[in-house]
Amino acid sequence: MTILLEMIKTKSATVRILHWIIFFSTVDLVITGLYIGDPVLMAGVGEPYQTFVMAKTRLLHFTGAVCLDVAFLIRLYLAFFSTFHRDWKEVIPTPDNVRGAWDTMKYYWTFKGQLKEHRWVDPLDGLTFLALHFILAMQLFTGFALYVSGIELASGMIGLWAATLHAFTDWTGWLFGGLPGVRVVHHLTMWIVVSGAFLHIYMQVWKTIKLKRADISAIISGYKLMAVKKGE
Amino acid sequence: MSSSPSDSPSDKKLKLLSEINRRDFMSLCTQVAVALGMANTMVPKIAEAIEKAARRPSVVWLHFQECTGDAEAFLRSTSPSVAELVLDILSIDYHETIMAASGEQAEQILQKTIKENKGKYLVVCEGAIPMGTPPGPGGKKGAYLTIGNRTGLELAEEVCSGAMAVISLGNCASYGGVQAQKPNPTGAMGVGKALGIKTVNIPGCPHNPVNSVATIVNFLLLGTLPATDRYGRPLFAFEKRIHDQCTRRAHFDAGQFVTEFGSEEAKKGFCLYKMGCKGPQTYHNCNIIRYNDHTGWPIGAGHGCVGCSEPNFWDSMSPFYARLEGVEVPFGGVESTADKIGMALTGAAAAGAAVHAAYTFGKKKAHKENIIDTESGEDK
Repeated sequence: MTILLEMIKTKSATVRILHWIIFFSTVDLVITGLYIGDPVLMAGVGEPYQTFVMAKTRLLHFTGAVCLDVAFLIRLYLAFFSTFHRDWKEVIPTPDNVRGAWDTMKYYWTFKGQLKEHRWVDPLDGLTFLALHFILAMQLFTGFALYVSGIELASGMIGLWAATLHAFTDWTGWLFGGLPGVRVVHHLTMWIVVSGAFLHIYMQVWKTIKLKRADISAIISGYKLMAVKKGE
Repeated sequence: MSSSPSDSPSDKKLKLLSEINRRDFMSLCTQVAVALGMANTMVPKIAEAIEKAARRPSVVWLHFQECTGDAEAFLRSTSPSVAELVLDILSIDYHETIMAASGEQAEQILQKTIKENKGKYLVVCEGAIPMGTPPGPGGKKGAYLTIGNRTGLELAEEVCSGAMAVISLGNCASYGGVQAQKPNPTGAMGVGKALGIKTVNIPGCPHNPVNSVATIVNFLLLGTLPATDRYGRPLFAFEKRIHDQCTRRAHFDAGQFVTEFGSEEAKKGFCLYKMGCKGPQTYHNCNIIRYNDHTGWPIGAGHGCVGCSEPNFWDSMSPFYARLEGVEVPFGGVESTADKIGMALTGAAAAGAAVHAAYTFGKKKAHKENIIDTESGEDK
């Protein structure tokens, strides 16, 4: 019996597109968010209407946020109802998944034991994926809590939007001590996203180099190499 | 010791009232209408309500843990003699700062007022109520504040229980103020929270007298207290965010900021966001009504907002002269700023990755053989 490596489809086109929407909107959100949190001066001393740097940056931030949140919600839907692969079971911290994640982690550091090959996500990636989405959800709630304070006097449809946001985000104010606390949490969580994204990119590059299974290819083409048993 | 009738305090008050001319009086009524967001057709009704106020409920004004700043602000009400006008008309029967009586006599007046007007008087509170018990013998709950041998808590409970409505003036009475901030040694809290009652809160440090006058006039006119937000603040004054009606907002949107007091940017009136202005987190009408005879307000004077109308602003809004970069975050016993923690986190991630890379890339072994497949061979 020989073992052959074959390109196997592991990610649907929708999931790949959503991944890159999340990537680009996160980059946009981090850059614009850092400016909004501590603006560097670039407008000069002319008339305000000639620049609107902050207003435009905030527009980019809100646009990125809406893209990220919509992508997030669609991805959440796909985890349960995808026609290609429903992966919600792989990201739940069941005892099996936790043990699997620990084994994978051990292998990454020691190369001892065996690394199980997974067509979908390995348990370590799965649990990290879940943690990342809790973090993104935190950004969603704290971000909209900050955002709605600017539109809460709106009426009509926008007023309905504001009321909806209030209903979903007011708990952050109670939990973190008003808008200043919400702002600090929003900023701290951004750093968790940044360090998490760094580790994620590092691990994917590392896997591609060391395991030689074209892991990075999966998020671009949808295919990665997997061992396929052939008879004879 | 007796004094001639013409020198008595009440006569003096009457004299002051008689000095107010119709023009000043209507000017006050118009201001109140503006503050309440009423049409100018309501001005005669406001005037009528105030004029009829000789038969209006008596007011008991209580002082707790505070600096009397709100009484001072109230007395410096913006139109000529508004203080005298409102004080006379409202029949403020007990006010520790301005009443003529003192000692036994004053306490008798208080008792008489709350007995005779039970359920019909307004209570205006100023200052927080300490709920803690001082250490040592004889210490009882709330004894950090004792007035006439009674704790502030007892006094508040007695007076507020028979009141028609309780109005908290200033941040201390509303939410506890500076003495309620960490570590809050006296267990101070706002009047509403301390007594477990609903109060109308008019926070600010000090509160703006236009807002308190407007709240009282609202009560005289309609017989009800104004609608309030989730922090018990009247919506007519605290519905809008400072940031959204700021005179410097255009500079915020343009990205033009003051980075140093006294700089060229400060002289040009740029946005004070980078100087720690808390306008984006603060709900108040002080940039519309303004203080000191409508002449000025903090941001107008070139100083950032400190958020004095928000609950716990001393803790939650500080440091007053920095935004995010200066906010300390409790983190494992060490206080640091959000950015320092974030950079440390990212640095730790990078260091972990570097160690891992150095270690694993040092190993030459190919690991393909070690990988076993568990799921492949299904569909493509």
